[in-house]
Amino acid sequence: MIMNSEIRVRISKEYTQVYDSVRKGLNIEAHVLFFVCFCFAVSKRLEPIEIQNREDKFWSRTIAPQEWTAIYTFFLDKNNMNLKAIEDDEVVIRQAERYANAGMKLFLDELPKDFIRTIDEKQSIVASDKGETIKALLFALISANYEQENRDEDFTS
Amino acid sequence: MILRKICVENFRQFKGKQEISFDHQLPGITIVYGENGRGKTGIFRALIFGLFGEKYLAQDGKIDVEDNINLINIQALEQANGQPVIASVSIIISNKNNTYEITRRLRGVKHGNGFTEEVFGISLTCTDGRGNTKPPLKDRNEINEIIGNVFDPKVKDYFFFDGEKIERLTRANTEQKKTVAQGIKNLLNINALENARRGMEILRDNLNKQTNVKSRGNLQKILAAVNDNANNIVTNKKKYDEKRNEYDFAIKEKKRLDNELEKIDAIKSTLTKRRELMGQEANIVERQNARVGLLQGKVSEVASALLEDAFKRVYSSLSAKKDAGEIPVQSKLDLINKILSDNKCICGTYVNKGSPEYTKIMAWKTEIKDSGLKDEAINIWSDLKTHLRIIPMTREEVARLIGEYDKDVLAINNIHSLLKTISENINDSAEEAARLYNQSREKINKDLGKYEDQLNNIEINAQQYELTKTDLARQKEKIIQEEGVKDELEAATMLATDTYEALDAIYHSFTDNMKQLLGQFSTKIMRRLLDEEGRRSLNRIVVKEDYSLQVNNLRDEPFLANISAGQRQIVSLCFITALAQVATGKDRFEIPLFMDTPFGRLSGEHRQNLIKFIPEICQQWITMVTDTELTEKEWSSYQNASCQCAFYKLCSQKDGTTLIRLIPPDEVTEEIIYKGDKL
Repeated sequence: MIMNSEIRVRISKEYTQVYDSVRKGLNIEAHVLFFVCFCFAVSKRLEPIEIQNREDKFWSRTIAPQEWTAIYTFFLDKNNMNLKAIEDDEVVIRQAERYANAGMKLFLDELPKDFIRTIDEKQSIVASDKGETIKALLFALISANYEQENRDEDFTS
Repeated sequence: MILRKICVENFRQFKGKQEISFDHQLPGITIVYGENGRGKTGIFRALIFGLFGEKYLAQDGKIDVEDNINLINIQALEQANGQPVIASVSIIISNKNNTYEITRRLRGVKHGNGFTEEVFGISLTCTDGRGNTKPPLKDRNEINEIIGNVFDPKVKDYFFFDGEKIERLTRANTEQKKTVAQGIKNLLNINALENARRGMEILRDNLNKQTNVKSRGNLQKILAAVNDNANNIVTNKKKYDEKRNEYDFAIKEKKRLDNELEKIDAIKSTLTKRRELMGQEANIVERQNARVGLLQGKVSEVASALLEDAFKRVYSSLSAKKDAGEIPVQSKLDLINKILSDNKCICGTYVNKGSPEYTKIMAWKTEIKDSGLKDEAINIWSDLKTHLRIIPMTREEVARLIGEYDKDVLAINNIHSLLKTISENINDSAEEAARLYNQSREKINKDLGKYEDQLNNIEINAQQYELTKTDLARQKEKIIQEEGVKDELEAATMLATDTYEALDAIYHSFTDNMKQLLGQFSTKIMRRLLDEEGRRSLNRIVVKEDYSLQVNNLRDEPFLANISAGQRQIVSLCFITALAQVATGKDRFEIPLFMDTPFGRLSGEHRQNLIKFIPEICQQWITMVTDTELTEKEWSSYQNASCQCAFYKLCSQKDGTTLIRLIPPDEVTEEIIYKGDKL
């Protein structure tokens, strides 16, 4: 719970090119994409998926404080406000990795196909028009938010 | 270097022999005043031609080098009736204890409807501090070398420039980045370091190849990967240079075609419209880029909105705990520590070590310490409070930015369609030449877009190769340590690698520091020059990683796309003067600052701030102003600028030539400001 800066955050090797293409094409750092995928998984109530073929992708020191707060909040909420659940940052990050891994598949499904390229079964993001790609990414997030609100309303009614 | 005098003879608008002396007290201002077409730029041209032998100025953007510009006075050529006319420019400068007089001569003749001219002589005389004058030098290379040692021609554009046109420095395109990068390299003279770095790189690669032949197993694999990556870097750099040359050539060719098209009267108005539309497009594209940057910065915030429900639940739970006094505990701990250090409770009871009160207080402290996590919980509570307030604002802002983005996409599409129509009209023009020039221009335009994309991709690949290089170097070092390979060749390779990396680190750290320093100096100057409104909205100038300039607002967000043309001119002036200050390492630099039309786009307060500021940073300021740039206010500011001020007027003559007249300062108000109306 101290926003430990010395943890290597891991992703599945399957998604290396997605992370690289987003960093190169859209200037969006790995920690942001990781957080986006984490939020997708959480909002769609996906089950976390264990990473099979791991790769160290970035240092936890790059994670922004507001992203840490959001991650802590989710695990606090999930564990009935038990502060012990977020005591160890390494445990928190390892769990978040599994959610982000689950969320990445969804993220790729949510983006229009024009923005995704598949070579040798590996996907990457097409950013020939940076503005349009970022817009599509934001739309995917906004629609997920909208769906979530409607789903919650249906559920409560 | 001090500029003493410029003498011109039959040069541009100046018929016969005329001169401007700058030999007054230092620091000093020389104002050369003239209405449009009177020869202000002619004086500027004389300076550049006289010192460096160059016919063209950096601001001659639209004039292709193949398009001839006449330096010899046309009236003198007309009157000579086909006989040769001699023109010359002499510049007297002094540096340290030496005085130099450099003279360049031209010879021209009128034939039929045109003129021919050529440079035919150059001489340099040098007088030392004791008044001994050496025989004049006539060798061009020798003279250029001596003048180059006094004043490096590579940096001239940063001391002699057109105030209006330097605004281009704030345009975020490939050309601008190149100009700024070149300026930094030239002014800071880091070519030697760059060469050393390159030499060491070649040595390291050669040693690496030799080591590769002798190595086996994992080390061989990694060395092969290192070599492949090094080759990729070299190939990529070559690709970049080739593409860059193609790009530069295309830019030049486009300018040449524009120039040819402008000569065809029938399509002049269409071309003006096209130029306007292209200007509008450039502005919108720049605004769009800034907006995309802002949207990119919002991705994380928009994503966190997906957790809003969890935020609300946790926030309300933590609020309840807080209200019940479970958190925060820090204030309780502070109180306990105070009681323990004072040995006295707030109720007045003494808490001595070993007493029952002391035991109770210690137990209370341990209990609170055990629940220490709650301290961090209050941070989460406080962050969530902010998050929950920001989320709706972020949604609104992103919706607004996307709306504006879409509107500008439409505007760009409209401009493209208008440009297409214009292009088709030019192609349908009765003028065959116009049609052909335009078709070539359209093709070049398409190529330029393609080249920009390709250059960007090559730059992205370069970044990737650099990352791979660092990663491979780490792996290699690990394997070398594991395998214990320590033969002589490997040691030499490692030494070369370390030296290269050290040089590379010095190079990058130096340029990074310079960028930072330039940003700080530019910002400091900007705060002096901006008017109150500007100071309220602009925070600082940033020289970015890729050498483009950015101006941040008070929230430290990129704001360049939103500032006016006048503010852009101020930002460019700040950068250029900061470069001069950083390069010379002095608060007041000893190279003259020569500005053509310095105030063109500046409003009153900006002008006055500039007049007050420039004499504080340079010892000689030569400024060429037009009537709209010199009102009573500016003249009064010049006079209050705490340095001597000389005033020259470029007077129009009946035969179309210009006469240079020195006006005593006490006659300026009457003759120039009121133009004799007061009488």
